[in-house]
Amino acid sequence: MEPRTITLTVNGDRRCVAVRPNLTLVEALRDELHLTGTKQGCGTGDCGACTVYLDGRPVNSCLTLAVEADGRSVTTVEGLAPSGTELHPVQEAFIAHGAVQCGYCTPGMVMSSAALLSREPAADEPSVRHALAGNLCRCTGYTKIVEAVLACVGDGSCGAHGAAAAEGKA
Amino acid sequence: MRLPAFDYHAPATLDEVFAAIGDRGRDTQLLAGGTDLLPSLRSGKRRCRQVVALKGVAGLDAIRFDPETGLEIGACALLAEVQDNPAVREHYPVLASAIRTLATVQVRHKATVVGNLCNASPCADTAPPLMALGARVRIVGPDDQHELPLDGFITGPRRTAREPEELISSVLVPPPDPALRTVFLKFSPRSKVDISAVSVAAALRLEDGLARAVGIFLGTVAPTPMRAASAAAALEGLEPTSEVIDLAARTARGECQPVTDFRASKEYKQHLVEVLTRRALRALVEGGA
Ligand SMILES: Cc1cc2nc3c(=O)[nH]c(=O)nc-3n(C[C@H](O)[C@H](O)[C@H](O)COP(=O)(O)OP(=O)(O)OC[C@H]3O[C@@H](n4cnc5c(N)ncnc54)[C@H](O)[C@@H]3O)c2cc1C
Ligand code: FES
Ligand code: FES
Repeated sequence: MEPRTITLTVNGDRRCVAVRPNLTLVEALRDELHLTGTKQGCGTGDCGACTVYLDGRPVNSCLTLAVEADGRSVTTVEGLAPSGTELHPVQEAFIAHGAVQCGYCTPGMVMSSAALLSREPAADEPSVRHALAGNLCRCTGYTKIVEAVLACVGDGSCGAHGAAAAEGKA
Repeated sequence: MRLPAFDYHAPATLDEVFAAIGDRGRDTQLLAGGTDLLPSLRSGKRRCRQVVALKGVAGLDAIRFDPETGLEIGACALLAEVQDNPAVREHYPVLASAIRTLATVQVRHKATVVGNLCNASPCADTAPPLMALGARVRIVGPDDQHELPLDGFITGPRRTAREPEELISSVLVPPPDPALRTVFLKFSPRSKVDISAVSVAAALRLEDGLARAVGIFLGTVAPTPMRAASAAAALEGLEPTSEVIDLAARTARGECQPVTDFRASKEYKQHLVEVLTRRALRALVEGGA
């Protein structure tokens, strides 16, 4: 139960951190690496607020041990935007469509939406709803979130950004 | 709430896995995706002193298909990878469609088919379709390995025929039978991200208008995913008229042993078994599936 040092790539940067085996990835990201964009809601895999990419795949960081990320790459919402002055097109669309209220679900929603658009750049409404089924929102009623994601379909930009982020390069 | 403390091992070979387990099998939990393990450790439903991660073991993540020998799904193959695998989609669509209904995108990118089976929940959604396909599990121990039919591998809630020092290295599905029609239907109160209230997988061949090789498997209505043997027998060798299908569906209802839980009452689950079995068999006979 001794802490062990893991090395992982977070948003493109190599980081070393000492973690106990029972620390989850969301706890390590927030408490050790001070990346508080990723939220913990339920801690049981139901709400999706903790969604990050592990080796490019969207996963629940509350169902992932920090030690599992040893040698792997993690992308959080802080790493999604292409630069410090530009937002990811999904983030822009969420703002433009009023898809954010309290904002607690937003990092997870944005990560899941960007992952969908990089996999399925021509996603339609049923596939957006299916892809976001693992992200709960207590505020918006989902309509504006779905509208925001659909607004990104076809403009081409999301796919490219999504793919770059998904590979941990963003 | 924090997870309880445990030691962690991330071996790179099967020999190292068995060395890490040693004689501490009963105090060990193997880690595949962790989507069942972490919540159950947190809630206290499972306890362990050490977690042995399988992810780093070379070769366990393979999905292999050969028309002669069939499909092999390695212990670390993700649900999403199996769902998207071209051979699975083409030859075993019932498995891909069952995975599509299982959990969320995030869970499917972390969780495994083998973890779903080893977790041994009566609700494991990959179990009925894999049983309908005649799948087997490969069990590997420190000294030898053997195979068991999946039907019978799960022996009770959170219990399997695996010994504590063994692991499941893969699930094996027989070569595709182009004449075998298969279907999976699931009902849950919330249509998405919800454990099944009832699930049904069915398989049959139509030979000269008669139903052959009928298999009906039910999820969540007994302590384990179960074979509805009497229901299948009610159809086997007969022309699948709507009367015969109705009788098979009623037989399935009589055969299942559901209990009331927060998802549905016992009576409602029995009703669902009948309705879903009838729909599944109709779909097979009408050839859609
Ligand atoms: C939000 C949410 C929704 C869900 N929805 C569904 C659903 O709709 N349908 C459904 O069926 N399930 C559902 N689940 C449950 C779960 O995601 C699945 O059962 C999943 O497939 C488990 O796989 P895993 O790789 O994460 O297993 P793990 O959690 O890693 O392991 C589960 C158990 O199996 C053991 N184990 C794992 N691999 C092996 C091996 N190779 N040999 C021996 N033992 C092993 C572990 O020690 C552990 O005891 C859901 C879970 C969550 C969090
Ligand atoms: S905090 Fe991880 S899914 Fe809710
Ligand atoms: S905006 Fe409040 S939970 Fe979604």
